[in-house]
Amino acid sequence: MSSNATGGEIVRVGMIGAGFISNYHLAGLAAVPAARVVVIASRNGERAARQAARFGIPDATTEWRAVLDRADADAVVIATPDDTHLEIATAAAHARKAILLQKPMARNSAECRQIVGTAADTGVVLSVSFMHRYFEEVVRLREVLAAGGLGTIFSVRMRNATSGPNWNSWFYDRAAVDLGVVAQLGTHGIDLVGHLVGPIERVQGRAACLQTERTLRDGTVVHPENTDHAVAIYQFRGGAIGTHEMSFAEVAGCDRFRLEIYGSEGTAWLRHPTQGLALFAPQVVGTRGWFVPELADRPLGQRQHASFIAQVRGEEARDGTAADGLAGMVVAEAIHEAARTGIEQAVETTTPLRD
Amino acid sequence: MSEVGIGVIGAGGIARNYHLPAFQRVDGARLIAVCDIDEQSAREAASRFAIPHWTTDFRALLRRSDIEAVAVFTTYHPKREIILAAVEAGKHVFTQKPLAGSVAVGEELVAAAERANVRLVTSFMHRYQPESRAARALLEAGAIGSLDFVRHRNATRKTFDRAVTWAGGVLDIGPHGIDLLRYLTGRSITKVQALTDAYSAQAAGDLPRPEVDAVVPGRPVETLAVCNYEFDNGLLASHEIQWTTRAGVPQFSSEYYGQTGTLLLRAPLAPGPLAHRTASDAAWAFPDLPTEPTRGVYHHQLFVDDVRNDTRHSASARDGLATLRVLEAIYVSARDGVTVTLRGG
Repeated sequence: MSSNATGGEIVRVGMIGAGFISNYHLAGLAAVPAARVVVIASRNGERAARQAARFGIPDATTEWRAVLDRADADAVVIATPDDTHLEIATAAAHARKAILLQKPMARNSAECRQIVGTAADTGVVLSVSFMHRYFEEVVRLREVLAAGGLGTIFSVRMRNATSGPNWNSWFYDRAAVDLGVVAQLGTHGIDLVGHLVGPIERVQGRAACLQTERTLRDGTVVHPENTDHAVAIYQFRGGAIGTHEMSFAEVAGCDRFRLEIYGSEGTAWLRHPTQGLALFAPQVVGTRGWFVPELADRPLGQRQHASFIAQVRGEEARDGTAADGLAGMVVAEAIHEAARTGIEQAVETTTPLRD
Repeated sequence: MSEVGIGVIGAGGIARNYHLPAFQRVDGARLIAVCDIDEQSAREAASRFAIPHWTTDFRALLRRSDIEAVAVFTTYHPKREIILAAVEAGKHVFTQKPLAGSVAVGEELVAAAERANVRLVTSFMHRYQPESRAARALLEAGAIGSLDFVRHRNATRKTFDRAVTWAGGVLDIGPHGIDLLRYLTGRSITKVQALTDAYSAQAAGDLPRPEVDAVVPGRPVETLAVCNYEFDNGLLASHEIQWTTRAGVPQFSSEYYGQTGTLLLRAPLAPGPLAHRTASDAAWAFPDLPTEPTRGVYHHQLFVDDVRNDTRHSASARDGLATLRVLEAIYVSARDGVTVTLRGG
């Protein structure tokens, strides 16, 4: 079966991973008529069975390889721990399955490069799940920026903050997630600012582990070996500069992320504590004042998964997230290196990829 | 002493709009004389604020025995000469930020003030905004637990062409944020990283440069800076400084993230200038704030009371100097791409 389903065919999807984020993917796919989830795989058979029952998936298995062996799976969603991404994505590409891969793509840029290369060699669709790109307020902001609504971008402020995952200990294990909060959470913001402003050329940063003991949801106490707080500053191509805060100890001030963009002609605030998207952009809004646009109320994940399915069907151009995911990991490593050495880092330009 | 006699040197905008109205309302102080190099400005300030004497000669003002403290509100180019003379005349000094244009001059002024045993107070006015005072009380009471992260933003609505006059955003408005971070956290900054734009490097060749070089020779004027700070206890902070900003973006905005809650100061578009929330709160609370008869009275009263009662509640000379050290660290970090380590910042 080719990795591109054509015509009016349904795209049949295998879900690999039945943890927390699988809910996002399964709900998103459920809202896309051209998609059907045919199987779910997880090391934890009970969890696989539970998700299968919840989302009406006909089949469940504890073997992800079994999903790749199925002729009736056109695409897979890989939502497993970071340190398994390389192996599973490589196998999926060789099995000619289209791939939607959770972020971060892999543990480091070398692994990302391998995955991107294998996808290019096999010709499969490879999309990395930067879900924040698809939030309605982000889509609207990007439209405003494209229309020149803020003029020349001067600076951007990104904050990624959650209370820290409390459902599994691997997030805090250096072997699994060496770059800690920068890789796990920061990659969302690194991708988002790149998506909205442009390529990052230089970074400087500091990182710390401030919460040295954590209690997980099930009562397990962990002692993190990686970082849970980081601050980075960016120099973008074209002259804009940016700041980025990453925290795994958010209590009450930020709902996953916040973004501010300051331009020569206007200002935009995204997910501010007291409202969602607020714009001062007289050129597109038409008035000289703050404006809070009404946004569409679509099911969470529908936009992203509709786009992925359309790419698999060849109806939409590939979204470029594979290259962006690699670029983002290079930035994350540069932040880590800057924090380690104290020296500002130039971000190496990734070599152009075949697509 | 019964009443503190105040001499004002520099009768420009900030003096007329903020300092003089506040000094007028303070108990235990009397405005005695005002000096400005421009006679018209000196006369008008004397008339408007009922100050009995005016002059264009600051040394004449410093010779007056009925003046115990001088308030210096000039641009920083003449400040070194004026403050040294004031200190040598045994006058306490209250002055706008930045204390000086460089750490070297700042050290000279602080040493002179300590030798003469007079106060040298930098007017870090953001400390005394009602929301800052309320925030400090909440932080000291442990309202959000120990701090993990702070984010601060300083902005100004001055036009770009004035960036050169004021030698850039970092020098002109950076001190407000740096001092407020030190004051509200109660900690010192030990590591600095920064990136800036280089406005004057891009600016047209016909913009005047001499006064910029007089402040910090060879340094370009910048209108944008982003900084990472680390404090002596490991706390991390992000500080953004923007020279011009549009659309009612506040002149400063602060976010304090603690282990048990969050404080927001001047969050844009929020219902109040101070917002507080803990993990168990369903919504943001907007605490009551202290009031004052006119902006800045609390701040100026604090200084007058320090002089009258020999107390030390105002920003110290060393606080002013610590800010200058951070400013210079920002320039070095942005220029060389290094992390600057400070002691006593």
